[in-house]
Amino acid sequence: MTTPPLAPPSVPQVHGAIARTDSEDRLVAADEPLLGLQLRCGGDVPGAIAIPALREAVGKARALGLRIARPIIAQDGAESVTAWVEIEPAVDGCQIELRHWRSRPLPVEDEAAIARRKLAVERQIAELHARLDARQNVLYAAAESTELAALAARMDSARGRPWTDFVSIPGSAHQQPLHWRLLDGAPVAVEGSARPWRATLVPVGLPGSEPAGFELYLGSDLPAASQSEANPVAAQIRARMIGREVAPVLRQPIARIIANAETIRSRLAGPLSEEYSAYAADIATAGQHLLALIDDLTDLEVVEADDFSTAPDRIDLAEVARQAAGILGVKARERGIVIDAPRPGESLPAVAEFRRVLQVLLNLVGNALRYAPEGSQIWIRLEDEAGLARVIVADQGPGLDPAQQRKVFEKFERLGRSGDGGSGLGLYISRRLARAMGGDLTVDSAPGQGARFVLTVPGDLPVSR
Amino acid sequence: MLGEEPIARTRAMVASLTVELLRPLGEPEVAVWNDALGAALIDTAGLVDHVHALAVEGQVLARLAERGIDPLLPPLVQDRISASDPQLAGLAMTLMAAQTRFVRRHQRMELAAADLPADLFGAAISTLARRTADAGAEAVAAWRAGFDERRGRLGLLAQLGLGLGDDFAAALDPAQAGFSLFVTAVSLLTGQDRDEVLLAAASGRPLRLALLLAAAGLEPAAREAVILCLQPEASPPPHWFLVDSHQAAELLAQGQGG
Repeated sequence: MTTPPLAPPSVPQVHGAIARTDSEDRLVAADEPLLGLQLRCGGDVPGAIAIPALREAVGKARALGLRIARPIIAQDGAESVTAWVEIEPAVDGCQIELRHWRSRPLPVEDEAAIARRKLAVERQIAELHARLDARQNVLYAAAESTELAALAARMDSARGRPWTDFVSIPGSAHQQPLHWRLLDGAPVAVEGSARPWRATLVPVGLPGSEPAGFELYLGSDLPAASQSEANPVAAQIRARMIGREVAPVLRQPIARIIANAETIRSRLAGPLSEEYSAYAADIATAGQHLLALIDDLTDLEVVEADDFSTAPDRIDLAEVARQAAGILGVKARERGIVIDAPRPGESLPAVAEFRRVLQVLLNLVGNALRYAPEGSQIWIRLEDEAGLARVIVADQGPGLDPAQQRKVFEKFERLGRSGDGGSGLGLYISRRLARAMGGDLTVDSAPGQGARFVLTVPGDLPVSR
Repeated sequence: MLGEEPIARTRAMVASLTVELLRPLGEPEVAVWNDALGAALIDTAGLVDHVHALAVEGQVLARLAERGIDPLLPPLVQDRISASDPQLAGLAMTLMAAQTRFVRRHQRMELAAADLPADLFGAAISTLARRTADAGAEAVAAWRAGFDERRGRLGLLAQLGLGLGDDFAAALDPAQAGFSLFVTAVSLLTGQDRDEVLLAAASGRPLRLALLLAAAGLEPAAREAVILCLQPEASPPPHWFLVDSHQAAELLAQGQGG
């Protein structure tokens, strides 16, 4: 025999290693050798099951409510493991018993296969993808996470420039872009993101000939801070009930609902009649609203906490405003609305926390986008007066009468609106944030005249113009 | 393999499954729901494929029996039954009983719900629940509670296979292990679906079988012997046996992807 079909067990024959999972299929207790395999596969106890075949079997047993017994095959990087697993579903999780545990060394994979798999992984985790021409100039860029949305918007709005103009490549003083083989796999730093990124370049065209262009992927080995992706403030919450207990539990199933609904909507899994695709779109939208509501509730908890404080820094309000406009640019284009943001070169120094100012501006511009008529304009203007720095967001929406202006910053105030996905918390939270930074958030408006929301924060006097 | 006989058998087996699932509702109800449930089961994803594979397995067992390979008590199982470890002997006895029932059912063109893999059993029960609504609620709950994949024939085969330890090589010889255990063993070693292995081993696809055997780690000479045992009409050219285990596994993986 070239290889023994199943080598003698590398651990003594185990009779009935026991493990337990909870109601979310997380492994809460496990005997060896399962424990070791779970850890080598990158999992933890307690933690999500990191062994794909076992996770699938446990998920099935729980979903079907059936006793399942089958062989599973798993790999931990060095060894291939076969085991017999019996799963007994119960109300609060599953009881797992493993027997006939055998392992044998994995065959060495050839390089092409490894390269293919690595590429598949990079594509899967990429948060930004772009198409480049033969000289590595950007033809198109799109982000799949809010963290890189601003970068993608910058790249996409300056098509024809090399992608390396938009990021920095640490440790390289060379004139960029270098030959693509040197840049493939290179570490990349992205402005406004603390995570380390990695570029993957895939040549397009016939193998062996000069590439006709490239696919560019930016991915990171570090996960996005789970809450900062949707909401910068939420990431700072640690010791609070909604933020710590409720939101994480809700977020995952809702995200799954959205992802599946999007799959159906985009007909990824096969053709489907228009009606059903539209239903799926409704489901996805409703899911998005739920997620936004969770974010708002999480923030509410933060801003209302006694120990709430901000971490002010010297920032440029013009830059924050441009970022907010960039992030919401796609949504604005969808509604045919033009966001008139401060021009590049304009600047207004202030002392405030960058992420929170961005959050307030995203809320203000987002509201304007929601209520302004299609084809209208939203202005973001800067003012510098008596040591105070102001950002003004003005729209051409229906405006607010004096009574509404008094109520609009109140908690859960919807001004009689419903069904648009708002929680009535955004402006309340934004004002709390502004005041915590030593500033304020006010509105002046008249019915039919649009609304002007004014965010004031302390100016940065010493370097003021 | 898509001959008339396996297709006719597949139909009959699904029909028997329909009646079996409905029986707890009481005889009058069987007639009420029979046609609708039968049609729905035919449409249940994966079920017909699996039943078809079982029909083919039954056929192969019968064919091999004519050539002296015992479908019920092959030498390897016999050996386990007389083992000193009572647990092992018990398992082998249970398997023999299950295998006997399977062959008997095959002759009568029947299929036992309890022998289905959990996924397909779950799908069939969901179909039953959807079709019969309130009338079948009690039966559906009873079916679910009573199901235990461990006790199904396929579960027993896999347990016995995994428990063979150093004797695993013997399971790769259909004359020693019997066809059913042989198929399970190849599936365990290659990670390929058992039904896929079964169809490749049954007939008409000797090249695929050769690759599976190579991927399972069998020596070239042994591969050829197995192919000639299972598919005497095949005349495999010598170069089929040049691939090594890793190459074969890769080819199989590619074939799956494409």
